[in-house]
Amino acid sequence: MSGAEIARQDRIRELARQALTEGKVDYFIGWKAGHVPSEVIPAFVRNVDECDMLLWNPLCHHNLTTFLKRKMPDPPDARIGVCVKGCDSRTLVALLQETLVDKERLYVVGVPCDGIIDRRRLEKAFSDEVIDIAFQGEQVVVTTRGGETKELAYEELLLEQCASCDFPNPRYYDDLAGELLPQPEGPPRFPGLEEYEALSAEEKDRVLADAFATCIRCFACIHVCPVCYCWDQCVNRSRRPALVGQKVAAKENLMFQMVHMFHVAGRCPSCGACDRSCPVEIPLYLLHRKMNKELFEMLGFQAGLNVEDKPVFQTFNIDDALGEQ
Amino acid sequence: MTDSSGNVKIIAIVCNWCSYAGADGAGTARLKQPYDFRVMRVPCTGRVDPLLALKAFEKGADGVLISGCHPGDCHYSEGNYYARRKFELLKRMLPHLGIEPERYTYTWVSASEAARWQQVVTNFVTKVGELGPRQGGAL
Amino acid sequence: MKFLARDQLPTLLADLSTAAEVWVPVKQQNGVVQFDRWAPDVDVELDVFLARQSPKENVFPQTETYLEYRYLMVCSAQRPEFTDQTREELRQLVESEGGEVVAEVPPVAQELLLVADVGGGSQGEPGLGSAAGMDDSAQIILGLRPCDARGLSQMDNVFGGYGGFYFDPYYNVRRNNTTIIAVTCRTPRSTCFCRALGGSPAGTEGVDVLMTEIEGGFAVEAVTPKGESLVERSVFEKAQPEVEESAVAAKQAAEAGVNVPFELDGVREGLKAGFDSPVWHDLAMRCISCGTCTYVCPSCYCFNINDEIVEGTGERFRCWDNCFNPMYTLETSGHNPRESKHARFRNRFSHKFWYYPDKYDSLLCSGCGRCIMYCPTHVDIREVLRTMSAETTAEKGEA
Repeated sequence: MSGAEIARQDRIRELARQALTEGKVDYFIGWKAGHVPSEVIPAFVRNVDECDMLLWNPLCHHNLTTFLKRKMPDPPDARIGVCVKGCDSRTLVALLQETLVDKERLYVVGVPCDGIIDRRRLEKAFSDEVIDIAFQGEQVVVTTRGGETKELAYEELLLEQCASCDFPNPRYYDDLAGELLPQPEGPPRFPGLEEYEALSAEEKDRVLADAFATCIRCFACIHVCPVCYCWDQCVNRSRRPALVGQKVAAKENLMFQMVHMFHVAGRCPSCGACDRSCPVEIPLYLLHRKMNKELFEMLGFQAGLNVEDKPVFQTFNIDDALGEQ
Repeated sequence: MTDSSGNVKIIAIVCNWCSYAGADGAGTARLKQPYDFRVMRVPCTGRVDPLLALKAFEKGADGVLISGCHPGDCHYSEGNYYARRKFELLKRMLPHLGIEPERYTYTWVSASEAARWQQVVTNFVTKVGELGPRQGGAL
Repeated sequence: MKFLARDQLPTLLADLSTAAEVWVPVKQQNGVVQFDRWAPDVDVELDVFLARQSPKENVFPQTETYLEYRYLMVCSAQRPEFTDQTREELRQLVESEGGEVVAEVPPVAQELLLVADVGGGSQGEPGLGSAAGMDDSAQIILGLRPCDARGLSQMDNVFGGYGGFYFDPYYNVRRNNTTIIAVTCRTPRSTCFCRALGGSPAGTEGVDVLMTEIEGGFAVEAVTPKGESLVERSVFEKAQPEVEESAVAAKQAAEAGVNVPFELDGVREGLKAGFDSPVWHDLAMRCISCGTCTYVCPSCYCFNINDEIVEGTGERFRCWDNCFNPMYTLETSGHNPRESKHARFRNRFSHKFWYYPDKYDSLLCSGCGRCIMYCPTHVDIREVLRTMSAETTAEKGEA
């Protein structure tokens, strides 16, 4: 782990300790090690002496903003401290823009981020279980349960979206864990779409039909989504009205996913939480990243940049020059 | 009228105040129109969730046409201003789902534009008719 | 005990597939391993330890149509003569399409209900609710792990009419036509805990034939009569004594690889004693209330029944449901007795280790660890059970 990352981790612990000691928050949400060192899981810290279990490394992929949305806080009016990376902070800003979370009950620690590792891709390089992932400078040392050890380059293991990250720094925070990183220049990037976009209508149809036939409709993508907040009232499950088919089949599955996409349009910054949560690894980024690309081309809009901004579908411009016939 | 009439199923989602009245006017004026679209009347295009159009495609529609009051003329002042952003996003996303762009359009027809309604639906139905019925596997 | 040379595996599969549909774990294009139909060009994936989902779907499909029907519209309230006309139409339809009228709404209503052919009836008689007319072709599932097989056998009780409860014809037709060829675990994961539940990486509960990977091939044991007849095939060789020895060694090695992360004794009591414990709130903190754990689980069996109608033609089907779904407990009044996240969370574990054992004399967990692996936030069932066991101890300690 680089010096900067250790500094961030120390600072997270320090800020958490402070917030809990001062009684600023009821609990503090960060990341901690899972049952094996290769897993990082969300941590809910209530006691000052537990703060040392908080950690920061390139495995901290969970977008903790999810735990702020409706029905997640326990008790419902809890004052919460939370860590956010750049992409996570954009989902938080999106919620704040629509006053879907109460700013007064939040204490936000921003964490500048160098990029998260694509654990899924890494795991597939081994048939055995990966139980340890350690970071040594630019190298990642991976150990399997059977004792096999491999060294891989950190740069090559990054998630696709992290490799072309536009916002390594949090857009909103009360305190910062570590130094801000240089802000990348240039227009936003939407990686991983070119190959699909070049397909014919028929081929696209086939790719999506194949991908969504594997969906098991567990709704992990929806529940893990930090900006999807209808909770029990979700139209995807509603039987009155029965707008979305309940069968598990390619069409119905893509339909519910499109409902999800359209309903989070304007709030979704493509943080990728849905992609990472899918137990059957459906490439959901094909939908949300494309949607954000189109929104940017259409109106120059990017979700969750500033708390004062109006979300794109909650406002209009009478001069919008769009493609109506 | 084209030969394709009768081949395809088209859903026309229209607002109560302008486009529905316009379509009604076209009927009263006995303007000849293709007969393979079904009209779905909504209070205002502002009420139209893109989900409605997607649902139509999912359930086998070959084309979806959405029409409302001209910008500035909305019965509720601004419903169609909000709506057109959603409609445009949908227009850009549908080809991404493997649905040909000709199968979806959104437009504005006022209560007094019976002739425009006739022209809009004839054009749209012709285009969709040329493509024929959809064989979507994904949606 | 028999022996199957590794290069004879495709021969065996080809042989089996002449009389049955054969399902094996297959690595999909995106690298995810799932059970799929075997065909000569399909490679069986046994290196990746567990498929994403157990082959639960082979006996309990995620979506299963019960019946199809059609509404005939009549304007009966004002114009009773239409009712007769519709009845006549109905009669003709039944005649031409072999449908069956199962319900007729009285003439005050707007519709008549025509239900098309369903087969069905109790005890194999025609009528609703039997499996007559179901596709009952034989299937063989090869390459699942003993925990997957045990998951199926745990589910059997709820669908099989155990204790005088409901007998599900659909499930049982499939179950009886299914032959299970399990493969002993080679590289158990840190998430495995079958041994804590009385299972084993070479367990035989629910298994017809158990194959154990050894050098050069598999040691093959028949467990049930169904299995006995299967291993009669000539592709299986008579096992030399060293085959048996290697098999025992392989099984022992696998056993050693499975952790025992908690004591089963006390779990049920702990769940019972700790039902109202505030600990549940802490445990459920990182749960996002999705249904991943239940859908990758080899023994979660909940389903709901839906009607979907397009243009008067409808379908009634069942599809998997789970206790995290808000609709799962939603009552007609609008009241939801399990409103909060922790209550839904609590149900999953209490059901598996308390309610189900009480009613069906079987656990509802085989320790495969998939829920730990695929939970988006890695909620750990072992941690939950450990914590809840401690609840009784804590209470005893106080007393």
